[in-house]
Amino acid sequence: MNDPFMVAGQWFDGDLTAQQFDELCEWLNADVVHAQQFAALSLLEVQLRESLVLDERAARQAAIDKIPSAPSYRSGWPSRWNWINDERTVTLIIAGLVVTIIVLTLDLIKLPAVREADRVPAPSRHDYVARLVDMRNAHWKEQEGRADPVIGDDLLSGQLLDLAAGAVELRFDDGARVVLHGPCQFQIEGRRSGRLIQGSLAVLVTKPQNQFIVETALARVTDLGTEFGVAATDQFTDVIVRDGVVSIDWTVAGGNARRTLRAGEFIRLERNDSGEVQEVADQLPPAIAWQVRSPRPIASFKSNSLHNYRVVPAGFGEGAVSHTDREYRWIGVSEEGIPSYLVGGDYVQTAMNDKTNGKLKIELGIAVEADLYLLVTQHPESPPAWVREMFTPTGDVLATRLSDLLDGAKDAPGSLNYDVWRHRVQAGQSVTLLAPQDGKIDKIGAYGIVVVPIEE
Amino acid sequence: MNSASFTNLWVPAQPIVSSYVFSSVRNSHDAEDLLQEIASAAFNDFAEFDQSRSFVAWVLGIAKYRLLTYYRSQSAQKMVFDESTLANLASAHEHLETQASPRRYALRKCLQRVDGKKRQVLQWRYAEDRSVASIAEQLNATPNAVSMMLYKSRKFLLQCIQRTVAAMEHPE
Repeated sequence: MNDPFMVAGQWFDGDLTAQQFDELCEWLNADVVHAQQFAALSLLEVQLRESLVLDERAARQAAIDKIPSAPSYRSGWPSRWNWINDERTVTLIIAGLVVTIIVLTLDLIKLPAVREADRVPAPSRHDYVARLVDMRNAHWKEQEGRADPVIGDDLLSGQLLDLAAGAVELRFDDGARVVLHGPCQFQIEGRRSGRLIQGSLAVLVTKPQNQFIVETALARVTDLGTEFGVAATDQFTDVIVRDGVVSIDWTVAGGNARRTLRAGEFIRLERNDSGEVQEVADQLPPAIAWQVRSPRPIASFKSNSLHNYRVVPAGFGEGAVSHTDREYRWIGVSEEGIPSYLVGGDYVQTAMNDKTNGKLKIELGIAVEADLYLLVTQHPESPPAWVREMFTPTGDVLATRLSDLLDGAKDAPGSLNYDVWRHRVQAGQSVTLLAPQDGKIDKIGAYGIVVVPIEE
Repeated sequence: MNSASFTNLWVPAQPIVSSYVFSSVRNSHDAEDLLQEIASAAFNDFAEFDQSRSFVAWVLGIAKYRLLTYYRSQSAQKMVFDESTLANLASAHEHLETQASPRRYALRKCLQRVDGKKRQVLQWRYAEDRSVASIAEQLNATPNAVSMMLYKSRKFLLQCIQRTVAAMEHPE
């Protein structure tokens, strides 16, 4: 057989002979990895069509917008000619969108939002400047006529995010990562800027040449390639720098004031009774004190699993998502909830599909002296010998519950209890974790991993 | 479980299901119809969905059944996957469950690195749905040369996406 990747491409191009098709089938069935490569290629095909069709439509709309004598075109609706052309070119993307629209139409609650969106001109692709990439226990305040943002949503310049609780992560097109902690009102302003109306956020800028600006009611915070946190209301602004340099500008009676902060430094600005903004000598502002936990204890993560694992910095707590492939969340089994020493730790969302993977191997690199906690299913056959040798039982118990049951009974069906085991790790040390079990025993789930730095 | 719950699960699952259907059916109009049938069947049967399971896996199960039924109705069509291959592909797509969104984001970044003739060929092939032969004619090249160009672009994009997603999940 020729290069199977070439043949697979020809399959998608509709350009395959019967003999090549047979060879393709043989290759697909020879190894599970081949089928996964083919699936990845197929997803690329679907997403390429979607992405390039959107590019073409945006380019066409931009060209139309430049025609001064065609006001009707600027309404955002395609001309008849354009629509015919689009019909021919967007076959696949329409399939996806039509199905989604059918589903949304069935959802009567959301129907008004869809209709409202239909009345206004569709935004150009270039108006999207960021994307919502992660949510942790997030609840949005209701915004009339607009559905709650979900992971994967592209976010518009000017869009207001009103987070009631939990945390969400945004990725801006120019590279900045912004984590909002609810309650928080944040307005996206552009590819490199946003306005914090109220609440707190953390910013990580990985490209020093792409400055990111946070505006608050009192000040303008400009990063110079760094990691920093801001908390604000209309009466105060707190800024703390975790890494790099940040400059803060604000208006005073005689003109402008500026401070430059370096790693570990912070500032609090307050509005006084006469309405002027002034710097206040203070202790570490409590509104953002929680952000001072640097460096993060989990420095690296590797596994031999075929499934997805996700490291969540400082994310462990009541209701934290337990696995990447299930709708379960961690909860405490006692009235006190999750033991306080675990709350706020880095943790790993593991793959439940690995619960019967006897060859699982995970390597964690730990940056600072920390306690590594392994959450292991309660079961007569559990934990395996390697856990008993390496870890010490704490006597505490956690559980996972289905998301919809979080507010329900603690002994809801379909849930598992987990014992908490502890192992002290020195800074710079690497730890190897093995499979949760050796054989295929029912009722043993994938374990949980939490890492908490030792407080000095 | 209500329709809002279904919508919340369907929207992120839809690219994976689309990928599965379009990888298994050559006729794009038939694939569109099948995708709509699958969404409708999943919605109607949503009460039977066990929330301790993966939603994507559940919908892919429905899709596999619909694809087999479709294949039976297309007995004259020779190039159709057998049941075992369809099951392998469903399992492989289940593996992509959490990756559609980061991969879409990575693709946008990686496409910025494809320009010139390669970008033009991608545009013709995907945005305008033109055949390899038609593109070859436009470029005054052989179909094999166009296939090779597409092969290289796809391979580059897949590798770039893989690296970008890995960097997003485990940043330095």
